[in-house]
Amino acid sequence: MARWSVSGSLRTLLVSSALALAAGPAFAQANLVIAFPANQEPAQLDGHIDPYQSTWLLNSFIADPLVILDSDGSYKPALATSWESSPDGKVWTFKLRSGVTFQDGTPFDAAAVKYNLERINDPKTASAQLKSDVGPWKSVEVVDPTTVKITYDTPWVTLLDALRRTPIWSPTAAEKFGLANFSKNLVGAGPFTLAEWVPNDRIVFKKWAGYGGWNPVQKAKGPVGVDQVTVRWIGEGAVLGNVVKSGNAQIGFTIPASFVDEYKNDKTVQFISKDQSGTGLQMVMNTRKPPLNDVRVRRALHHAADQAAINKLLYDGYYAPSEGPLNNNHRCFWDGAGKMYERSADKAKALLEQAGWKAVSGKPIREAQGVAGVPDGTPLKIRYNVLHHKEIGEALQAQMRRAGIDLAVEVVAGPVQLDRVRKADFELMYERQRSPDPLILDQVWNSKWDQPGGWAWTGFKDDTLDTTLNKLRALPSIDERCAAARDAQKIIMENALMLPTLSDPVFVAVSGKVKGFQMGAEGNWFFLNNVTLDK
Amino acid sequence: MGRYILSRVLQLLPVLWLITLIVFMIMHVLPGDPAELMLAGAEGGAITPERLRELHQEMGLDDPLVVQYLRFLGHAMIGDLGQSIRFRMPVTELILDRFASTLELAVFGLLVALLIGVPLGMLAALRQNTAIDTAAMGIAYVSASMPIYWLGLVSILIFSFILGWFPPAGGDGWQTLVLPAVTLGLVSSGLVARLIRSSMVEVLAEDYIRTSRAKGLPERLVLWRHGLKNALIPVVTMVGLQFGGMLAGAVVTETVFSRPGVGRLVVSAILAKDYPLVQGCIIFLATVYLTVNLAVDVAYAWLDPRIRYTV
Amino acid sequence: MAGPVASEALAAPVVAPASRGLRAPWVRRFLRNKGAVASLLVLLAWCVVALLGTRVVPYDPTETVDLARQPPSATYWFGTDLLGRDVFSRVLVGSQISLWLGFISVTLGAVPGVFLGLIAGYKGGWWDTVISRCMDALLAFPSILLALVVIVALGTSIENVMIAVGIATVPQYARLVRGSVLSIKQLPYVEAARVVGNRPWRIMLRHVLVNAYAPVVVLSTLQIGNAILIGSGLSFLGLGAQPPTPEWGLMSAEGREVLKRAWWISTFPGLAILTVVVACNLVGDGLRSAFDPRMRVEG
Repeated sequence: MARWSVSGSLRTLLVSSALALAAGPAFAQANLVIAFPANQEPAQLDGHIDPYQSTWLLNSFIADPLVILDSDGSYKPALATSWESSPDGKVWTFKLRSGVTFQDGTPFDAAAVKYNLERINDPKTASAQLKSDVGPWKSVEVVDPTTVKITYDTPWVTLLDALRRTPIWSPTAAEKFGLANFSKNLVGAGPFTLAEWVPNDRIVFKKWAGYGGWNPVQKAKGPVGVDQVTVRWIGEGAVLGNVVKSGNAQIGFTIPASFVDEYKNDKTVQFISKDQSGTGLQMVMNTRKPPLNDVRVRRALHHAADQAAINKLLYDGYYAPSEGPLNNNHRCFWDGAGKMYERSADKAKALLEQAGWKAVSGKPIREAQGVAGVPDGTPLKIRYNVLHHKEIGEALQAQMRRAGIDLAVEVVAGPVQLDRVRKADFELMYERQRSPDPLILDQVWNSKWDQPGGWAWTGFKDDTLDTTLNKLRALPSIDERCAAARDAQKIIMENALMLPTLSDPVFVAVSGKVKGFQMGAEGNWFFLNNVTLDK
Repeated sequence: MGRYILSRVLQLLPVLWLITLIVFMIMHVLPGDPAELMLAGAEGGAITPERLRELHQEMGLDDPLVVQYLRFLGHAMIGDLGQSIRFRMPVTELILDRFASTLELAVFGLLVALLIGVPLGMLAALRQNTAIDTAAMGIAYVSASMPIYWLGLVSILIFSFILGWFPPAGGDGWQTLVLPAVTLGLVSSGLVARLIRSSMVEVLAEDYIRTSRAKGLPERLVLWRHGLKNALIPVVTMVGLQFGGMLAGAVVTETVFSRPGVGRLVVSAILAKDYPLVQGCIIFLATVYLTVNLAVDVAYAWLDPRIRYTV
Repeated sequence: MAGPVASEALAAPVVAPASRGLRAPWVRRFLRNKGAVASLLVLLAWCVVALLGTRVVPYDPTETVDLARQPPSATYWFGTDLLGRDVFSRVLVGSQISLWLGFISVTLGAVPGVFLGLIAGYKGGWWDTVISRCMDALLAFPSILLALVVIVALGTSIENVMIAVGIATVPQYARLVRGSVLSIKQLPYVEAARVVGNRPWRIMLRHVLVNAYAPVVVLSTLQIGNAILIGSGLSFLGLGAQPPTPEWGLMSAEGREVLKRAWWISTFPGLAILTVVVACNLVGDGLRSAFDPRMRVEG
């Protein structure tokens, strides 16, 4: 085994070094280098399969979607030209742009859209997220080559938010390469073609000469202004924070907060801080078992935590406050959330005493005395599981200890997180949903989604809450939906079902050489359609 | 010689087999159903019992462990190490995609280790018990005792961001190779220098060196022809171990410098609980390591006339 | 075992001097080595700090002072870290964890390793074949890789790092002791003991082990430093100690993002690692040349 692998690799080594030498001078072209944190790297580059925002963003370089979410938060037509939905929200009809071909020459039409939606829905594709976002449609109908009709059994008011992330791939290419290989050979109708993908290192995109500028953000129609885009995955925050300053990249995407000061006052760099809507870095609580089955303990956590102090301590105050189940900058945010629990270690202590978690002299951590289902003398240990931002947990750990709570911070990987959730084996679990629609409250808090694969993890069931949340799917007007969302947030906060922590804005550093860089409505999205690069 | 090599290769086989057995067993006694993990990781947690059953059948998880192991072994022998859960790609392909980068790093890391370590050790040996000796050994001890990630980050800070000489990350072109290779090599150079010094000191005290000196051979000739050559022999083994270690253990360096190598692959696989990938990477790396060690033993036997290779 | 002496280089036959006590020649040789003696003092100093632990530190090492990233000053000698904890206190208290990691993992490697080596060397035959092959299989993993395997199996924690590093060194001890035993077994007085009818265990412990301890001591000293380095590497990868443990590797890894802005957070724990590892290596090498300059033990 070793023999052929070594010789095979030697061959690759020789070829790759030869390529590297040959490619050396070519970097003089207008090559835009964008540095991303390595933990955002997709495992699969096909957004129909992979569930990450970064995958969909990178897909948008290659494939224009039907609609886009513009910087102002409105949906605008891209490969679609217009759409309408039936009053009950069950039937959606899209008019499509004519005269568009994919990068491989396949014409774009209603059949192609149907193919893509069917591909997402196919169990063989095993779509990790888009399938549930696009929803359980009953039929997709090709009315004529430029008209497609999608019909649901239930109202599906969030379809546009799903479609703005859905890449429309060339059906010919997708069939040709099959599920296994299409990821490395993506073909769409977007501004760039996929030139090279070296996992764990870089993805190279080349300008597509046939692009018609169908994305409505693009000012000059036709091909885009940069020849090549290279996305690099950087593992170390210290490196990511410095690459724009040192000229190794022109754009640093999601740079660490500790570098904000350096870039803010730098006139040669455009610095952008864009908050994300949806939820903050929230921690949901498992209400099924002690100690968090007692609302007093849950409330004590709120009193003990001081988010503002953590923001100042860790992030120079550059993170955004997030005081409830929706981010503070969300249009449907309920502003009573921040005032409900006063920051006070004494209040936390009093609640814990009442709940039977008593202070023991000489010990920093409280112990159980007469807590139902807990042997006396058990220390008050609460696990805090996150995928990232471990440092917030560590800062909370110090705050919680002052109230006698032992917060055990543990970083887990995505599959481990879901595994623990399924077994309900957690106390505080990180759960963030990034959609800007208030409907996410329904997904996270409606007890009907407390099922395998659902996002309602706390085990909390309350009829008023569920009825309120059901309105989010049924009401057509955004104002009425926001009102329902606010009611729901109030119930969630009163029951202290989640512990809000901060919200991380996306910090982007853009070199002064780059003109026309546009952030999307959400911090995790941007457009390269108008970018030009000074030599 | 041919028979010796053959016998060594044959001895390798049971060890290789044991490795597959150990790694396979560890991966299969771990808690967690691989099919469930696969669905949880790949399908957003939406798991229906039917899908789970289907996948169990697909992955052959219902068969007895022995059958599963034999099947794994059979596939491994023809180079198929299974399918990654997270990447949904063949493990072998994922590894081979990254092995060139790892090999490149190890080769140049070793080169740096020798280029720094050998002169340093010789210098110390020739100027035994002087300030030069102390200084050289001081450098050797310090460089071998530094946490490698710290050394890597400091070198990025200085040579990429302050001086701007080399790129701080990446896996394309020789420029990206310089810093990681120097970091990796510097740590090993300390070990090389220590060994060279002690080996040289020993050789210089040997009779034949004294004889050559007495015969009036020029000092330089004595040192080069007799001293260094003989002093290098024991170093070969160590260098081989170092090279193997760099190939299989450059995990930290690859992480610091964001290089697309096998080490980084295995760490990300461990963090994501992608067991088939972990299993494949570890078996692969261990095999490479063993093969390098075998090559070193053979080279040693060939280099050192005092050794009679017995079969 | 077939094969050139090369593969046995780790276990060159060494007969340790039988005389012991402070007047023993090897002690005198060791004391003449200034670097080694100084290093031994450094190690002893760290041990004292570790034993005193929280009693000598100026601040609670887990309590934040709400002043993050303060540079070194008269109040905070080594500055404060990302969470506003006193780095000096954490480095001092961290010595407990890091040294403990070194000692425990060496013990976990040495005890089974020596035992297996004794059996393989003394019993020979099937015992030897099975043990040696298993040790070869373990040796096929570079120590960081083997440690990773163990971490995968046992989960992420500082205790498991100790076990992982311990297991990774078992084969080195086994090989070393097996080699020593093979050479000692044939010596006249061991033969004599057997002829007189001593039980094998007695012979192994009284005659063989006592005479094979020198390389074990050398390897152990070198290995303590190595274990601390591997532990710090694992912590860097997120697979070692968990917060808020003041483990040196974790501490210096935590400060790495702000290395330019707040160099002290990661530098002082790094220097602490450096001093201990250098000292272990110097003491180990000093012991080696004091016992026998021709001994080959690679840590």
